[in-house]
Amino acid sequence: MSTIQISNLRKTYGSLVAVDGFSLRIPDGTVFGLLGPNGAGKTTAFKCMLGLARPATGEILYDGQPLVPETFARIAYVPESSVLYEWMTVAEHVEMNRRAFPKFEPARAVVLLGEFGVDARKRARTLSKGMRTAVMVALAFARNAEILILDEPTAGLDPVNQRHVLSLIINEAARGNSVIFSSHQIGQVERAAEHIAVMNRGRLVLEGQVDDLKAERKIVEGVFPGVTYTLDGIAGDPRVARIDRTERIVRLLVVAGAEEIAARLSSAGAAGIRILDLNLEDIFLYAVSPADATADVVAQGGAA
Amino acid sequence: MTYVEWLRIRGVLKWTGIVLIAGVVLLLALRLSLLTFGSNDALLFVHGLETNKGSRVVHTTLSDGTKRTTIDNSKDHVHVVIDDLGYQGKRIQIFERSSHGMTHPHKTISMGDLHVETRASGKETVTTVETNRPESFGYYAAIASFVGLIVGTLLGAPFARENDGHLEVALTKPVRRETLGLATIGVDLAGIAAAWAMTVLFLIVAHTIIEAPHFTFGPSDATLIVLGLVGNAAWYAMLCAATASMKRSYGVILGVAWPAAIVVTVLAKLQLNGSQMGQVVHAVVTPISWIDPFSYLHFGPAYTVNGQPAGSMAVAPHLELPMLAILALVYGTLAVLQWRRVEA
Amino acid sequence: MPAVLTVDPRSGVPIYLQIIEQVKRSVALGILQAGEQLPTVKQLALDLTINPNTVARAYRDLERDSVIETAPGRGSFVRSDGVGNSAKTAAADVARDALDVGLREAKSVGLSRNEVRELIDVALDRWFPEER
Repeated sequence: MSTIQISNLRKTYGSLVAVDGFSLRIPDGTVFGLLGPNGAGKTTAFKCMLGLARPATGEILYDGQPLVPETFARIAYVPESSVLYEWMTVAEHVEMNRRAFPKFEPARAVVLLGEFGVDARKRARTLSKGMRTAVMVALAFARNAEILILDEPTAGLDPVNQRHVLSLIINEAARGNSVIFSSHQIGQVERAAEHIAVMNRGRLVLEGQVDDLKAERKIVEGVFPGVTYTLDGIAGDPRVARIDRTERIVRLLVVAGAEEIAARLSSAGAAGIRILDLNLEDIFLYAVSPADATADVVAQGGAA
Repeated sequence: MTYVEWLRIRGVLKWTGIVLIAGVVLLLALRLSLLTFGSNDALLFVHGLETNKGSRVVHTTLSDGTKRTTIDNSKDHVHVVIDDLGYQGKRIQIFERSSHGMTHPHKTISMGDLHVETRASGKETVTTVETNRPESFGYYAAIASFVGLIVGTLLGAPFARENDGHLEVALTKPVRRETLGLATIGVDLAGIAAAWAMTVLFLIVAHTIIEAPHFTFGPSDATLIVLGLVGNAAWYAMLCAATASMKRSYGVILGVAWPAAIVVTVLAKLQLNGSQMGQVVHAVVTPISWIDPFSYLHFGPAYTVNGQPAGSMAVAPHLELPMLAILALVYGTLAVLQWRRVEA
Repeated sequence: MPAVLTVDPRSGVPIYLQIIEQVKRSVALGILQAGEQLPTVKQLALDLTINPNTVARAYRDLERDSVIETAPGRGSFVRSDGVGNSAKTAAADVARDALDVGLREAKSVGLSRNEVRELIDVALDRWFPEER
């Protein structure tokens, strides 16, 4: 069982700052989704977590202990790019895993490979990208690890196999193991993850439980009778993260207390009050690139 | 990772074996064709003499079964006696009128089982060529070491090969990096030793096909065997250290290693003290040759000129083994230390 | 039961709330009978391809609301004591949530209390003619 604590992680590649002051606590036995645009630093964060990259500052602790070689007996990692040996067959990769990892179950690997439709006799170089991902996923899940770290585990897979990977993740969660995975498919994260963290430009911009985020984050919408109005007492409320106006229509992104703020908006003279739900994709887009969040949002303007 | 390295070695040894077996087959074919067409014709100069108009050729068979051919050419003052002992080898004696003062009245060259001796006696120069003298086993060891260098080069960048996109697998195993690195080196060295053994076997088989093998085995041969294997280890370790931090371009290093090593070896042995430039070059290249395992390669007592081992060595003979051992250890350590710090 | 229970992860409504609402609805409609066993947390999670802890949270809340009861080692069952009660409670919950949404809409477009009352009377005549 492992809690992972990341503290003040900073990693640079030359002049490029890949991860900047990133802190995160990943609880034990949970499915944790790491979201972020390309280049946000997710892969770098994973690499630092696994000792594959040396951070400039910061530390990563597993149950309060730094990473040592023995810890890897409990960890399974699926990297973003293919690490298979091109000239070896899939079966030889299974054998390699068997020798390297004490709890690896070759029988389970064979079953999983079959479920993904991979022919174990083929050489890795003859496999498509999706098949390579499937092989790495199958080998990782056969390792019976307590912590699975998966970087884009569904890349290149067809929808059936993608759903299969999700089922594997959920199965691990039911067994009480931790799964940390990154994906661009927000729908997958929405299903499988209990906690999420959103990274942008090397920083943590949002974190929380999916259900709580959805329950608390809302858009409160109101229509004022005229184009001149005041949002005193609302604009300053720390629970209002964003204000978008289009002439008479005001939309407030609130992180909590939607009902109360809706009531205040009503008192301020707005009619047609609506409280709109946000799904994870909306929440994510607001967190990373607010300008693209909704199709009909116009740039801010007017007096507050 | 050592499993992966074993698979790699298996592949390299398979190809080595194929090449060696092909060599054996070729030799078999050559031997059979010589039997058919008469072995004397392989000695072209003999053939030239035989067909020379002034030559008188006599074939006799001695009491012990030796086939003796005598060629007399009084016009050119040449007398040749060829004794063909069949499978046991040949002895050729060439008696010539001494030409303008020989600088070396007595010269011998011994290479493997081939022995050439030139002696001046009075107005005559006698050159004796013997093709199947007992040879020291060290000769084969030296050839096998050469093959070991090649195999060592083929296996020579194990860390770079892992760096090229496999670190996420190699470095997330529950094994310390140092242990992994050392185990890989160990496995590769075993592979080199296996290739060495295969080559020796091939050479024995090859020799047996051509002529009766006569080996001698003495302490100098044992030294040569050890030198060869340690030298192979040092060469391989050097390549490891040179490529341990690289990701993609390790092939360039492996390819450049041989020409660079040969140039260093040759330059270090040349007497360049004549010009100032030559002295500078010599001063620079000599220390480099000390750390270049390639420049230690020699045939030792198996290849002698006038009783002395031919081919000068990089350092004094009694320092060779310690130097190579130190180089092997230092290079190996450098390789593992570098790999400890590599990032995926 | 899985055939009756579906969730939309892409909805803005948290999945656990969707499950709670659907279970209550099923109980209210009699699709889920008293004493009937619910799928295990793990089984439902796999069937719906959602996180098991989400299912566990829903089951916990359903138990807190006295709709189901969980016997350790045996599973989760629809409460059979006064199932009429829990069905009624469940039904009331569902209806109340729907009314809340409708009334908020009505208020937000500016209707007064009396106007809403009139609309409700008209609607009641349409929906419950026998009980006039």
